[in-house]
Amino acid sequence: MAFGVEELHPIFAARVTGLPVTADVAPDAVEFLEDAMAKYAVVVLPAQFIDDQTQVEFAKFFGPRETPAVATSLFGNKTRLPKYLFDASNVGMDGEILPADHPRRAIRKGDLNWHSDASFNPVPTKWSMLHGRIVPPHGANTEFCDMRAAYDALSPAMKAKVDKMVALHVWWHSREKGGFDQVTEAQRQANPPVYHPVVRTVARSNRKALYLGAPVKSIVGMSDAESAELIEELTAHSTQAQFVYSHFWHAGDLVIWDNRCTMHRATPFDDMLYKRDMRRTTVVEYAPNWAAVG
Amino acid sequence: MALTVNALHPVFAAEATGIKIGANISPETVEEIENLMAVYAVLVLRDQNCTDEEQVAFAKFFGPRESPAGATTYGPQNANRLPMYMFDAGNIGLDGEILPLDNARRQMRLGDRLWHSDSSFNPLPTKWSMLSGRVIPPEGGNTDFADARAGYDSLPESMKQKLEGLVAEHSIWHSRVKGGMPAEMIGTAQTNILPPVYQPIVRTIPRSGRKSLMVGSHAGRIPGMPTDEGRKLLEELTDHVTQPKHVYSHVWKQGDLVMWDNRCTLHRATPFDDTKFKRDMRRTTCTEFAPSWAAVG
Repeated sequence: MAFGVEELHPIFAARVTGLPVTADVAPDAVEFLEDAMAKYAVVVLPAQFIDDQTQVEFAKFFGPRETPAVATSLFGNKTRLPKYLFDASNVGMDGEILPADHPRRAIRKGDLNWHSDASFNPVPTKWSMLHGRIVPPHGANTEFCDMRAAYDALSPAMKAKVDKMVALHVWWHSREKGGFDQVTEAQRQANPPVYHPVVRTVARSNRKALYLGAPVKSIVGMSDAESAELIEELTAHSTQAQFVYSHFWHAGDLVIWDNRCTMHRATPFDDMLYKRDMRRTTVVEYAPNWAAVG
Repeated sequence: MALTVNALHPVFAAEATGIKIGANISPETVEEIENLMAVYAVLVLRDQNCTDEEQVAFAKFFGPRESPAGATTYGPQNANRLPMYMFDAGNIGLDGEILPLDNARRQMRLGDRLWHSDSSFNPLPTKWSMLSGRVIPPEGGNTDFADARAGYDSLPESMKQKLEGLVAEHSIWHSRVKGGMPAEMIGTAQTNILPPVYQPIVRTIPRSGRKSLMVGSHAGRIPGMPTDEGRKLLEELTDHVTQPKHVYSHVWKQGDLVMWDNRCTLHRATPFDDTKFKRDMRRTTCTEFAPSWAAVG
């Protein structure tokens, strides 16, 4: 079956057809998707009615898979999903909508801020692959912004300023910004602050991109006030309408995004009325060297 | 067998007897080793005539094991002669003979003679290295260790304040160039696999609760500071940590297993006649954080 590409936005994001999500991916499909991701950074594979196992196996063709850490440590290590799947849903272990006071609901509030998944981890994340199993009838779009285009559009003076900067990413910072105030000392210790460059060149496309997001607490070598001002300026710049694609979900969509060169955010919906069952696999960039620990 | 400990230096480093490394280590022994490492940072276990399998199994008690990177980027002729999770710190090739002078691995190893912390260029901070001396040259080839906690403690208060919040850029390519590896051997194939990472200069080590300086030859730049000024400060800090009063020099005996905490020590290889004598040293390395950050597959 021939692969098809339909562009979804003037500068990035595309829908790819003819590429079924399976447990065994042919080399030409892997290459095609890697190329499409290098060009578009966000790719939608529509109408993929798959199970957990297939989603997990598919991810492996694109990098070592990340095990979700933080959320499970908060809830007595309980997750309703198998290893390598992150639960981005509003449903609990019983499959029902989480009660209004459930801590997982509180911790997910931070997802409404622009972020790049797992930027608080020391091993850079490559792609997220989010599968819509049950989607609400309206609302709950996911918005994406193109951080390569955002970098390209910076003034030469700003490029020179940010090119060698390093940012401090702190997991709990993003949660606190989202209003979650139950972060424990044990969680802070398990997720210590990490540093990433503010500008990075993404492999395969070789394009420079800004690397920011809600966990960014400060810029190394700058005062807190200066940092906050610069982070806000760069974030506002990057999320201007011309850099943003808003995805409305259909059940069966698998949306893949490159966390190295995009940010995204959830948008609100009536989440006490509608179920939203979203399951994510995430792959890291470096393999096998950095990831090969055991 | 009861465990006995002899200090080897006034501020750190000890020799322990009564431990036989391998796949069967009791939880009590693991706890004792963790406690000894928290105090001494360098621990020498003598007469460990172990197999590779025993060395690899032993490492797992202390953290997820790191797979060596780097050397294999120079092609299959530089492939590891050792099993997974073992780093080859010897001067021997796949054929069991001393490496020829122009061998890429020999060029890579030149930088080991500079003070460094193993794998500080990796994003997952390394916890301990465990180096087994299988074949030891008759003279030279000591490993020098420096206590970076004592280095931190003895800084003037003004310097401690200056360092708070500072970060260093670590890259294996900084140290390879400083060590004399020809720059033309380092291309994008190498730098793409091991790009620079950022580590805080001062960190507190769990269990001991002591602060330590994370510097050494992989550190090449301090973001937010002019390049020359940053380099000068990093050199100054490395010199400070490696003053003779903070240094223990280990004379290897065949069968030694030397463990060190990379979070709070620096070390360096010292010269020996390495075109004449074989030196077969095999290292296991474990990382600090597990299982969440390391759990990829």
